Amino acid sequence: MYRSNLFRSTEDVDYSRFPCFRARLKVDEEIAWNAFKSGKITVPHYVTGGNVYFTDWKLVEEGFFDDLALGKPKQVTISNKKVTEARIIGSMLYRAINSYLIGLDLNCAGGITARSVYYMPNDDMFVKKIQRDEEATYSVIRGFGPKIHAMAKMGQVLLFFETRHNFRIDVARDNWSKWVGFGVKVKATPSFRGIARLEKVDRKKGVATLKYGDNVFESSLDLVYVPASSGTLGKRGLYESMFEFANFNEEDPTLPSSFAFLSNIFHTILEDDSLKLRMDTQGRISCSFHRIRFEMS
Amino acid sequence: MSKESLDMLEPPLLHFKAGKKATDPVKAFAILGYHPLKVPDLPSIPKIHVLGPARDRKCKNVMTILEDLKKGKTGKYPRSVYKPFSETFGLDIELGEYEEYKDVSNVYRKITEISRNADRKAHVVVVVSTARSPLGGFYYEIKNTSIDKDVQTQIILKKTVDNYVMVMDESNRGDFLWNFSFGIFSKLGGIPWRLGQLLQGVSAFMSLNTVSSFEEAGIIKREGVVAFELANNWGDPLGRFFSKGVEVNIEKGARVVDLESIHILMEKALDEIELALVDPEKCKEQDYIVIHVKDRYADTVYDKVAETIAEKGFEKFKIIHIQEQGPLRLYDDSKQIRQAWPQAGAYWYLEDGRIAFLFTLGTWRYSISQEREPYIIGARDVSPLQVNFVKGTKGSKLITDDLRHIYHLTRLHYYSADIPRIKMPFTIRLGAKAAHLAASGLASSDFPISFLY
Repeated sequence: MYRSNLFRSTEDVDYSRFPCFRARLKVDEEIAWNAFKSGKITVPHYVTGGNVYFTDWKLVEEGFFDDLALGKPKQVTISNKKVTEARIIGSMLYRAINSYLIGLDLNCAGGITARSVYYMPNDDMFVKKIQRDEEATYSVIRGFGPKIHAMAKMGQVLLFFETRHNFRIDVARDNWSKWVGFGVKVKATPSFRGIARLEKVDRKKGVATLKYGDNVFESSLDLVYVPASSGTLGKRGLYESMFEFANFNEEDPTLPSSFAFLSNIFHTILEDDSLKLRMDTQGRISCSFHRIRFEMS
Repeated sequence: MSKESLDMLEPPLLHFKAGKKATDPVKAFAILGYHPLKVPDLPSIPKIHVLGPARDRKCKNVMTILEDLKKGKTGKYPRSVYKPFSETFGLDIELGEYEEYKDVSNVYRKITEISRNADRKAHVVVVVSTARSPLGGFYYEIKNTSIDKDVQTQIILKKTVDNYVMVMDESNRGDFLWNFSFGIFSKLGGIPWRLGQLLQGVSAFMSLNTVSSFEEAGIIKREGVVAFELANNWGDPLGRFFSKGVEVNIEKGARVVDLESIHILMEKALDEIELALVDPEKCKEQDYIVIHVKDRYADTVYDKVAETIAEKGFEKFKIIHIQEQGPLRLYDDSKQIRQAWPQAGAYWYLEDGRIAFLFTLGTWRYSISQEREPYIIGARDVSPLQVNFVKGTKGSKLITDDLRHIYHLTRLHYYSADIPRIKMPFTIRLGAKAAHLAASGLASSDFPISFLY
């Protein structure tokens, strides 16, 4: 009998008849997404096809939809048999897991869904920092994240917890001159998503001059960051040591096994090998998952 | 408690000389006394040349490995016994003196000298490298020269040499020598084994590989490579095609490839497949062309693949995405330490007809014990392949035969000293290597398909 890192939804929720609420939007979807983001709304939700799907009526009572929706939201049933509805269910579950894990004092890096990395800050098991005073602080976050398969089995949801990692480079304002010639990105500029070359830094004005193709443009230094790519870390001679910390290597007994790492985490996040997610404040919907054991047939 | 069952695929029967068959190559050679399927007919006694970096005396320890490879090694455990090379393969080998290289030009010179000999097929150059190479680095430069000059090379990492001499126990050394010897033997033109059973229902396997274009510090490069590797339904190499300077981008996690390049290369590949079919009309109607990919591609790429296959008159196809690190981890907390992991061949469908997990090799060792399973996976967590059905002819889906084929194709990496680490079908590895070599300067795919690297 094998223990696994795979969980299956329990029978008390039938995901082919999953209850939630739907509000018809009177604004663009992007405005709705931004409203959730800026309001720091943790209620599981998903915006698609001119509608918002969510699981907690509290949002309606608080007037959250007054400026967003046409008429009063309705209760609906969605099914994981359909691609879009399975995506809605999956996305709402990712957000519920996020709330659950944040509630256990874990931090999240890299987004909420497929790239999320959950970790304990200030814990050597999860975070390794390399401080180079005149250059940057390099961090490796070694953690875990959920991967949901909402459409794999009719009426059920399967959920993996897998190990993940994230690299970061934090450059102090005085140290930007050390990064001239390197590739950088700019935060919060939807019009530019590429990697630009850092050409010049004006520390006094707090401005970076960047080049992308033939275009030269300026950006506030506060918005510029160095993506922690393997190439950049390699040039700084740090990639191998950072990757070694992040890697869970089945070949090397000196490194932690990913299952042993996850087993440690399961002690923190599970109760009786199960995970219970509250989808609303009324306790109307709760989604439970049981850990699966495997045996040879 | 929620329970699921793992099913098992039988390990592939491998075919040795005189129609002998076995599932475990080392058991076949070491205990059963089988002989390799094909011993090369060479004009002279094969010579192994050895080059190591100057100013690194530890690298000279590679000679210990080569001497053990030639003379054999005894040990108290079954796996630690490695027979002399000549006894196992019916081929004597001569070891050259250890030579030092200062830079890659010294290695070129050595390869070029050998290439001038009429008996160059009887030479293999073993080169110790101090580190793994990035794209275009030392490894790729040497392999490209090796292909240009038609001289086989075997790169070995200094770390491996150090481990062999200082860290490995008897059993590990035995494992290593078996792997290494298969690599050297096949690079001398030998075929130690092949699959003993036809992979049913398939005309040919193709792997599609790309090296993506990338952005670097404000300069947008569009110099991707697309490569196809082909094998027939016995798993024998059938063709290798690549095209350089192709636009390959990544958008929303999926690779977008210039469709005309895909079309032209696939046409060539399908022509090659058709030429090799015994009964083309019947095979084109009844059997599948199976395309394995290890990266995610945009739908437009899959559509172009499907369209080209149909244009060439092949009626059935499947595109299967194989992810090397599936997320499933299994752990047996019982006391049976040596059998703690699902054996190679264990599989489970996450979603019927679409997603499966398949344990192929991972880190495993040869075992020549009569009592145990031939391949024992180490008592640590091992990840399965995640096998995803992407697209296919109407009505087709992922079936257990597809998993069986993938599993069997993982047993044909005998040319690599890295056998224990390779979980993927050999077609994917060779195709990916071809793409990387092309991206590192290899000019043309016009070299013998039997050339292994």
